[in-house]
Amino acid sequence: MSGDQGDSVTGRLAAIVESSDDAIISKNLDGVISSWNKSAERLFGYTAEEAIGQSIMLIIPADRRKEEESILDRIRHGQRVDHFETVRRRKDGTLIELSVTISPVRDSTGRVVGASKVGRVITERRQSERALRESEERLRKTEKLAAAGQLAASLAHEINNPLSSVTNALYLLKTTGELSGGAKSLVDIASSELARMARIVKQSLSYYRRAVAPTDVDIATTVAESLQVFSAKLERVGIAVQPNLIKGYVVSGFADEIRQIIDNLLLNAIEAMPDGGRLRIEVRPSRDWKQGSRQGIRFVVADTGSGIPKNIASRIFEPFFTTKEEKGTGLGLWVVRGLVAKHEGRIRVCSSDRAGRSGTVISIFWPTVASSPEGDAVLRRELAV
Amino acid sequence: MRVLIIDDEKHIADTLVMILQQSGWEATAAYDGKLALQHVDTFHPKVVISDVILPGMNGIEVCMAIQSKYPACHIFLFSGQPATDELVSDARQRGFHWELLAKPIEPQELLDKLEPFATE
Repeated sequence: MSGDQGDSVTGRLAAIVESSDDAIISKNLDGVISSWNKSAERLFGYTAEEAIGQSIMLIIPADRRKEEESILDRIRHGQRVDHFETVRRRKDGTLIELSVTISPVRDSTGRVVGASKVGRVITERRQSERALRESEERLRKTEKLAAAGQLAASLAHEINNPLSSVTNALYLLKTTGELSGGAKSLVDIASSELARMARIVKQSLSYYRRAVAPTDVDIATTVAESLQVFSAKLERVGIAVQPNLIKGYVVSGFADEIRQIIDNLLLNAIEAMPDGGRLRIEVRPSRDWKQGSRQGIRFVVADTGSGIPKNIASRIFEPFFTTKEEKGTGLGLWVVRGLVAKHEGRIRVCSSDRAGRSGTVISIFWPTVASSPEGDAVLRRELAV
Repeated sequence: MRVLIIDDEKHIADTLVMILQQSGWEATAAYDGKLALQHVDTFHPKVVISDVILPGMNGIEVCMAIQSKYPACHIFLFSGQPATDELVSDARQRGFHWELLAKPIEPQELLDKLEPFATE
């Protein structure tokens, strides 16, 4: 090959490297950068001038330094590193996920004198993989909930019929007037225990509904209706209600299920204050506290009741866990959590059982579903006013 | 007052009949839709309480036939499963507005519900 031809081949290769979409970097065996193409400039934010002569550690995050040492070690032994997925640091300090292929560069005698490094951004691919994984997880969770619901529904049906017969039979026993006092009180116990079974079945049943299309549900209006139902009880127990309900914000959901969530939480709060207290109820536009970009509606129920002791706090969402003895089914919060999850919402519980300042605050977040949630909610509010 | 109970669960139907009779009403049971339609013509009930899921004709179909023939008859449905919601809302769309009672219903509650019809 003549010198001219050699030069033109080298020039063409240099042009290819320079115009490549991948970041192409070379370094010597001590890790000092010896070339840096245009894509590397774009990707890492350092110009060739800034990078060449510097250590490759320039773009390697502190916690991955060891990784580079083992790469250099492999290169010294003439081995390649193929499509290695890692993280590198830009000039502005941000991290990027890359797939890199590192190959040894040899001189004319075949001796390894350095390495070429080709890097391709995979952050976007990673993100879409992560999104896919998350949506699969959500689906699995939903399927699990649906399966649990279907099981509860079929069990409930099987149980409701015999429950009816036994309820009727006990009623007949009690009302025929042929029972002694002792026998009658035993029948009373059987009846009330049976009624408890019926409540449990009814509650697990309501957990599962055949899918009908969701509708727009105005949370504040629903809460106001629910408060109305409980008003006599609130007054009797001596609970002062402090409502702050901003009407007109809607979520897409199943009205009876949302009502069930609200009723369950209100009832728990009322039962936590048998000697009266204060009940703060709020409905207002808000953001998801775990995922700030999600907008929606927050429903807060805060009571000044006895609070949840720390040792049981982790169990309150378990099915059949109750502190209300025979009065409770232990399904209320379990159902609430399931229904909130079904509406892609979140639930948060803060509680203190410290004497004098005890109480429980339960917050629920429902996302608004439109693509521009805020705009949509505002629009609907204007229409509703 | 005459009350017809339609339920394929014989224990439920029979105990309900006894409860109603104990309250001084005439009551009888039919264990499927076909039998129920035969009973209606001879028994002339003022109130019909029917299960929704029945073998053969379902409770909604039976009650539609009864209601069309005897418009003054009061009809209640009762059911132990939520899947019946759809059947009931179908009936509603066709103009039949019947109350759906959830099984198990407290006998006293049922008697209280029926009482106004007895004095009607």
